[in-house]
Amino acid sequence: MEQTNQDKILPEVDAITARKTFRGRFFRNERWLIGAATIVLFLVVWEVAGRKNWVDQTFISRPSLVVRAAIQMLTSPDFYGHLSVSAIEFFVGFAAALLVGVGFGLFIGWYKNLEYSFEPFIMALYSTPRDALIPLIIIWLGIGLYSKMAVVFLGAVFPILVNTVAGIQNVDPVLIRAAKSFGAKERAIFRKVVLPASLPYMIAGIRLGVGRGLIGFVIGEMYVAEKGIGFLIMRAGSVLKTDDLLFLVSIIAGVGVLSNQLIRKFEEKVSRWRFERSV
Amino acid sequence: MEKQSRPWSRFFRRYKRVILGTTTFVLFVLVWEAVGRTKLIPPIFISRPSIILQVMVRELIRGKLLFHMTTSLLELTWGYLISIVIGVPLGLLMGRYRKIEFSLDPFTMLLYSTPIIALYPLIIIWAGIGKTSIVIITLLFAVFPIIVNTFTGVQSVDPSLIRAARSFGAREGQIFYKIVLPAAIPIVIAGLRLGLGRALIGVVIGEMFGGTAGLGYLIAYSGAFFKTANLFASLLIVVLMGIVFTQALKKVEETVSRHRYGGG
Repeated sequence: MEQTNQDKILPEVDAITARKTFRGRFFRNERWLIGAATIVLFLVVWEVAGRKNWVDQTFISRPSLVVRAAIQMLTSPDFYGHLSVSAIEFFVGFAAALLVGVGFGLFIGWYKNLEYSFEPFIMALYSTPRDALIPLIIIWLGIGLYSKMAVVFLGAVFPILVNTVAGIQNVDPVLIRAAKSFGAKERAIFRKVVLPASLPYMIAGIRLGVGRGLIGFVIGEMYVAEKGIGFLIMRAGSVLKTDDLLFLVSIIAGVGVLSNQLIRKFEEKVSRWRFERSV
Repeated sequence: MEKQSRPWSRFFRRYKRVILGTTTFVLFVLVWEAVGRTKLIPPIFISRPSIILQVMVRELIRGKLLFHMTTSLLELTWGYLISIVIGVPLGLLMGRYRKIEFSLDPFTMLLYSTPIIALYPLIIIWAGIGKTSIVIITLLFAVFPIIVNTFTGVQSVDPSLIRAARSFGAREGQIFYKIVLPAAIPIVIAGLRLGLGRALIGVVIGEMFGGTAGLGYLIAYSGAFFKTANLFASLLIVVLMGIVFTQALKKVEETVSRHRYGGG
């Protein structure tokens, strides 16, 4: 673990990229430049294909129409109602998942017997398509907000739970033994050794959980709902409004990428902090 | 006292995991059955294990369940195979050639973190309701973990091995077949395992939304008519399929990596 951290922190010094010439600049930013170029190329080809009617507009729309749909939606107050419904569903469901995932995870990670007792359920639910439970959840909680919160919760809780347990169990036993020999009580060991050491795992689990939670409300709303982004996606699809549909999908994709990157940044920070402390 | 209990306690300690796991599981099923029988919670919400089992056996004998299972399995197979055929070569290319990686990275990143299911209405517009769209959804669910893992596998190959081969005059093709591919295989297979799990999700979700047959369709159909026992029966089969597939590929993974380190 530490070894890989060390590898990451050392900056990669390359003879070409260090130079301040045009070539050097190109190589240093090669990733961004090539990436941006292909995106632009893709958009241009898409736009042209749409305009020239190479492919039916209903099938692929085109970037300019998507932008127009975006502006239209973003200026209508109706849209924000749907957005806030989705946001509420996500945040409530995710908060519950965080609470249960971390809390319960710490608990059963620390007491091995408990983990063994719950293992069959956790493993079964972890390896099932949990979104397949949506019809059942709807029988239980109806078609309103609660069922989507439950779907978000179910999606997010297992990655968080499983990673928290894994984090606790991967704490270096030498550290625990050392703390014990210096007379630390169980509570102190838990708070000062186990908790900080398993934090990176937890955050990795939370990152996965956010992704699953996002899928949760979208899919829940798409299945059956009266409000929300997923509902709008389904409606746009059923009336063949491809431009609206693509805009809505890109919102979800954008939120997905953004949250992923943010938590990754946070993850790096936490593991760096850990690294520095452990030296 | 302590001496007498020793063999039992040793037995317990050794199989603690299995014993505790089974106990809670059995307990859970019993409580479920009891609550279901007393109707403390209306059966429409939770049904009960004995009825679920009955329904499962009945439907299996009737052949209806088998029909839906084979439908799902067929769609799964197609979607998964196509995702391997697309994902592995793409991952290999991206891992080996930086320019390809940089140009495709934005797209894979974006699609990897998009809930694929949001594309479902679009896929329906393209391919109509039916098997084709479900195969496409399955494929989309499975292909990104496969691409990303294959890519990571290639990237993780020890560069000194490649450099060594090159200094001994190996050609690009040889480097690829004799070094990159064998070294990357364990991580590629881990990706295939992830991909299979996701493919299963894809099939079930796809069928739930727009299928006319298959386990996902059965789940959605049973749910819509409040046939809770049927719903649980279909869910149970999906769960079992998920466990069997993941375990099977885990075995493959272990065998391959053992072979690799053992043979080295």
